[in-house]
Amino acid sequence: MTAEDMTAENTFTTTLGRVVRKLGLLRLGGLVGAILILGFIFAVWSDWLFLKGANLLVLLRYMSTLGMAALGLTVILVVGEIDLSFANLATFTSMFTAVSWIIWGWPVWLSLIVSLAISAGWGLFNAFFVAIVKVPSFIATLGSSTLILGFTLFVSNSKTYSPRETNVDSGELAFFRGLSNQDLPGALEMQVIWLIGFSVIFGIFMSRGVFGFRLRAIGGNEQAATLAKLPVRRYKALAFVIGALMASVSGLLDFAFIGSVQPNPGQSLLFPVFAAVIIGGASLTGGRGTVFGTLMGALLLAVISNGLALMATGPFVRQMFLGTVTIGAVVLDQLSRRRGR
Amino acid sequence: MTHASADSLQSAAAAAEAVNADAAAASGAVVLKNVCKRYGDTVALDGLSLLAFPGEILGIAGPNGSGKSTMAKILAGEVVADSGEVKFGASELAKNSEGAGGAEEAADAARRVAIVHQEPQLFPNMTVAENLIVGRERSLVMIRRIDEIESDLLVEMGLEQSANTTLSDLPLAAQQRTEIARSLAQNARVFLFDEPNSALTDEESEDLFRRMHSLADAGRVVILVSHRLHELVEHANRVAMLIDGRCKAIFSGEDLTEDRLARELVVGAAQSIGPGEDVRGEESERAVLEVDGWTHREGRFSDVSMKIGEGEILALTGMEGSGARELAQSLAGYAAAEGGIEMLESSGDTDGGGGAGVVRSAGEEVADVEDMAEEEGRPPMWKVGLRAIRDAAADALAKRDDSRARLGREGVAFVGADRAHNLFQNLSVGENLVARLTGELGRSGILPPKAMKERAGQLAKDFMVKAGSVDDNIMALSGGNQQKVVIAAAMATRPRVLILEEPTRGVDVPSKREIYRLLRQFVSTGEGALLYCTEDSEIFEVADRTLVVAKGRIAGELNIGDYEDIEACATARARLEAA
Repeated sequence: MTAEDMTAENTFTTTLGRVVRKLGLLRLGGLVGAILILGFIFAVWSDWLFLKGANLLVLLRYMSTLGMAALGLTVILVVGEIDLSFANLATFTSMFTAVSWIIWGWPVWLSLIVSLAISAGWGLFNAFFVAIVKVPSFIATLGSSTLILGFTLFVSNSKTYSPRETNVDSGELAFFRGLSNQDLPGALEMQVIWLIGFSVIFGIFMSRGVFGFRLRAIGGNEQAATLAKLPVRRYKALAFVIGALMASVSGLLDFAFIGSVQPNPGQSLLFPVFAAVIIGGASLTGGRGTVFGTLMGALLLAVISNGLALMATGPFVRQMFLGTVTIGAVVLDQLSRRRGR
Repeated sequence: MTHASADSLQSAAAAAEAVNADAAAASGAVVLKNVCKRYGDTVALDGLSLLAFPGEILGIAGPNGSGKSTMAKILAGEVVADSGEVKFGASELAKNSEGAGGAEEAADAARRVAIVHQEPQLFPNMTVAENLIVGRERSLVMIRRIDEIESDLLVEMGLEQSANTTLSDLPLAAQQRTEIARSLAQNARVFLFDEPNSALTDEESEDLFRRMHSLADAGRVVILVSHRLHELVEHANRVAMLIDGRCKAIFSGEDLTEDRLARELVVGAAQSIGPGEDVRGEESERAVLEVDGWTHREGRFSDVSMKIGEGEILALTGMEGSGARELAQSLAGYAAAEGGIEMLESSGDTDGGGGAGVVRSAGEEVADVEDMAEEEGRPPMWKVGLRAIRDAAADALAKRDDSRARLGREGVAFVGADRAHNLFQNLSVGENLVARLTGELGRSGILPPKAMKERAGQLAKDFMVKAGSVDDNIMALSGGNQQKVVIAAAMATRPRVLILEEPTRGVDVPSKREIYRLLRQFVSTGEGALLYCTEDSEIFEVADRTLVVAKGRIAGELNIGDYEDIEACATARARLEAA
């Protein structure tokens, strides 16, 4: 039987099957289903408070914070590496912006640019150890995470900064707050717009771009990628830089919205972002992960966090829930892949 | 026509055998009846019926993709068949072992089929003795010592000296013997050898075959899957020919000759490709790649001078450790070497005129593609400065930087020996085919899915990749078809020189012919190909010229056209190697 015969024979069944498999629709369908079911439960439980516009905006804002960092982390996981330093780095960039702006009197745009440059440099720093010295990225970024936390404490003197309560230029303050707060139709938060913008760009480059294809190839088999002359080191460096920048942007926008920055909130971002990416279908061993999946993962986590906060269940319930959902997602993933074979 | 009638006779025999399956099961045979298995769109087994009796060696032959590995996995219980029956008859051995009830035996069946792989599936970090004990510790507290039966097994397998050696420190043959000993300790009744000796020396292979015979003599079922027809003829009592997931014919007695098997293989393969065409290239004056005083950085070879001519297929051969493999890798840019290297820039395919330029450089020759691309035009000062810094850093790191991180040499495509290192297991067949073309297909940074798919489909067709669809995962293909995908992906970049390490290792005869034909077609437009090979038949069939490497130097050159047959060629090679 030739290849053509086989294709012709099964065109219908396989085309459908292939589409489902290719997009991982089944899995994503499960994810969307979970979001809807949980949303419904919270809605009923909270006497429909959950579905109020104001609450949904809070939910979306949290999703944006998670989502932007998660997009960056997705890139790193797809290329087959891991980054534990992004959360502490996000705190550092916010803190550096605050201190250089408020204490050192830099113009805010300079503070922002230098902060982001440091962040990109930190990505390169991670990539140097991972791609050139060949330290496993888990160890390298565990170390660099602690290192950057040290810098944060050093720069901040372990204090909290709020630009509003200082005598910074009011025009600059307005500009900075404007990054996250704008009068948008429907009281939509500016952060959500940022997330949509980044998602579109990432979505295009990850699913249709040479960039995403090569990331998947390198994450799938680094050795084969080397033989295929794909620029492995460059892509790894790029992935770490993107991951660092996205985490920093997410942190800065949060800072702009909240109006203050504490030296150590970054840790609270680490697990939810990882959970969002893993729930979204990215693999810790590399080569798998999509933008849409990651966004859905972030949405699910935002629904859970928001719903439980609304019910005032206390922080311990939220942690237990997060842990359970993450394990559940990984188990489901394993099951669906086994069936796929 | 006589052939055709002989074929139908054999098919009839195969069918008759299937009918007697139930009777055979009672006598302790392994019975496969109408077994079917699909992977996605790919049909691996299509109603396979087969019998293997205790006390005989059953050979299994067949082209890649005929279902051999799937059959092995089903017998081992690693994969469950979609339909059909798999029975393990109650043998004398099982009856003798105390209280083996029917249900218990069925549950045990998976454990009792021992598969001896090319690469042993054991615990490389543990000692030989520990490997025998794992899973049968009998105590939860202390690691027990090996018992008498096990130590007898070690003696039988010639492993008593290495009982306390870590497995990974032993040669492959000893690891395989450990695998056999472990299976015997678990009282396995069925032994399936899956291409067991493709990485063994001749002596080690002989030893392995002796052990196979003694397993069969002890009343066990022995199944040998191999691509090497002469070994099947020599050692098997019967040989089953698997084609397209079915048992096409069974050969035994007088019919069991290498010629008959080879003909059946070639004729029966989906694409009949005819006899190997013998079109050697014309000898060319010009070299596409030439090295002079070429020396490996860690001394695996030194002061090598050689060239690959236009339109030439050059083979490098030499034992493991001779430096031949490293030489091939260094020419591709994946092993650090220095010396003079000259490479012909791509010329027009047909105009032999003065269009070709020469890149000449001496000294350190591990530049990567990015560097070379930038050399067009004069780079601005900051780039020169940056490059100086980068070079300094590269020098400092050179010692630790393994060759994997290198991008390889421009104009050269390389395919390594290990298929697992050449494939992207998370990608589809099509994506694997175009993986090296992303720069070309996605100039704008976006990969148009349609263009990608068209290109992949064209490549799959040109290279006769047998796949249900290019969207299938690459792992759904058989080994030989995966190898074709790998080679197709490398050729698709139109390199000036194609360097392949053991391009047909573990590949069946028809696929081999196909690959050779594709290679010949590839060099016909003036490109060069370099193969590192270890098999005389490959050297004889495909190469124009062969360089024999021994102790890090080129010991001599064979012009393959000068030799009448494989034996003469092999003798000459061996003489050069020994000198």
